[in-house]
Amino acid sequence: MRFWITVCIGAVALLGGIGIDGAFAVKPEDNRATREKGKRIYERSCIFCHGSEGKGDGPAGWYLGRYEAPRPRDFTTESFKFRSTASGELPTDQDLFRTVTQGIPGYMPSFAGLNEEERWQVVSYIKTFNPSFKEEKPQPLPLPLPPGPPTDAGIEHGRKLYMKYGCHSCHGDNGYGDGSESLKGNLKDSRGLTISARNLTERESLKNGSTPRDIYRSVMTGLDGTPMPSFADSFAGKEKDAWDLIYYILSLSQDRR
Amino acid sequence: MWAYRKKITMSRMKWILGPALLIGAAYGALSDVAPSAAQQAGGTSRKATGLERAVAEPEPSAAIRQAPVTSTAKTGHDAMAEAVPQQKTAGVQPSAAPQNAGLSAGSVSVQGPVIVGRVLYKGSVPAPVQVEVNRDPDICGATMTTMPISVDPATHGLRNAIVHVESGSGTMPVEGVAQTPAIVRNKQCRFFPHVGAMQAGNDAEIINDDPVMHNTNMTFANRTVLNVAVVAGGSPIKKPMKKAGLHVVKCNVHKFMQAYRMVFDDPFFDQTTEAGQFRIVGVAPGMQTLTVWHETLGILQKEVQVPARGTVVVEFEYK
Repeated sequence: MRFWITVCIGAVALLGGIGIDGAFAVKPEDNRATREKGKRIYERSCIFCHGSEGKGDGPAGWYLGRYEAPRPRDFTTESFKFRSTASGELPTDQDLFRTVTQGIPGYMPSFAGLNEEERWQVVSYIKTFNPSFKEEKPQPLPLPLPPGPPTDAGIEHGRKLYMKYGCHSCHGDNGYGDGSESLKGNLKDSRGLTISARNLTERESLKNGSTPRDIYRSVMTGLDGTPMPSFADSFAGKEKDAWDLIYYILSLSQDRR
Repeated sequence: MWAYRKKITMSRMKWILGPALLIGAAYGALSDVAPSAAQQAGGTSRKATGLERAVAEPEPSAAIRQAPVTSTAKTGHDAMAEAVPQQKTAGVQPSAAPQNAGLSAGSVSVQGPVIVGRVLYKGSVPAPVQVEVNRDPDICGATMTTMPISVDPATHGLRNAIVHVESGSGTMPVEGVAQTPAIVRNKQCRFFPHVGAMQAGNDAEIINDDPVMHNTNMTFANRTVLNVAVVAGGSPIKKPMKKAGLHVVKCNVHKFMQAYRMVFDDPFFDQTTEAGQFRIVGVAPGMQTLTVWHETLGILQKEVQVPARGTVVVEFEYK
């Protein structure tokens, strides 16, 4: 009896945990009224950075420095970095919802202060800036659960992959974001502005989330509009290798005493 | 005693398992939110279907596209080479349609006019540009030179210009015609070919021959079309090119690598040969606008009257 209770509690906790992980939510209907409400929220919350026409040219963007990257996203033509879809695809509605909910560490605040319905309304309105959202139907790439806990051998294998797959060129041999391409200022975003590679030892600063699955997603999808490529094809059929690399990246931010 | 305990257990289990199953069902219903294992399998199978379609492309359509660029192209260029000295400006060549102008592919037969011509550049050719190699000199070479303009000294023909008929209408079927993957080869830290043209809907096949990792980052205007890592020894990567336009190809690992892919919605385009020649078949008769693009010289346009049958000779010259 006690066994079954434990199993049920475990199952509920697991399902709940998955639901919370990544800020998933049921999407309500997307209609004119929703978009209209989204516009009202956008104009009091997002307009300062993203601009009245969604071009990423809001007045607060000036405070970041005119030629400082990354700029606020231009929703009208630019690519989206934080997606669950293949490189070159638009983000899914869930991806936009996740970014609005979680924010971007160091850059965009979390808008979890808005209730879920309001956040969905904003997502509906953001999509009106780019007509491609009406034409394309982005599909998420598989985002599996980790196969098991990390092992020393797996992390060591991940370290070799980190070097083999060229991660060190930008993120540095030890993940401090001090790779030669980054230090020389060779990394440019889609606007031609110099950007730097992320310091992987500061896990909390990872912009696309810092859970193992968040990092897996970033590696697989790449961050469009930046030099970070998608490794989905490189890891096709080699999921274990991918997780070894992810666990190695996570090990970089462990306590280093 | 055991039976009694079992009864109790079962009745309690209802209360515990019931909500658990309900939660499970709700989770199943929301599975589009968090992709379940079943969905992932579905996604994979959808992909496989698409891949099968690409691999097992119907032969007739492939043959239609292949015909003009390979077997008949030479004849067209030869005919044009004879015609050009007499006819310097755009006009109708009053010759009968060449025998190979009608393209046959299985039971499908496509008749139509042929546009042949040359793109010339008679100005001074700039010297080769030395590009700084800042990474992997053992593979990329200590220095690298690029030719901004490649001209055949004998004929002034301009290589790697892309000629396109703007209307996009013709006697050839437009949908699902070409199915030759356009190669983007990374070799000795260069993209091969440097310039290429292809029809939207076709695959770009990205290959890495180098023992180092490259990334192939294609952008169109401000948007990333694809940015994939191609690791050393990795399998070729095929990705469909969806939208028409000029795509700039870069590698962020080796900043000196750059190439261009021009994507069109229709098959009415050609890339000039080393002697600057091009040949376009299957265009609809009537007044047509031809556009030629070159990576450093820019764009030229010309109106051409295309007859119902026969060959039109067009000559472009960059000043």
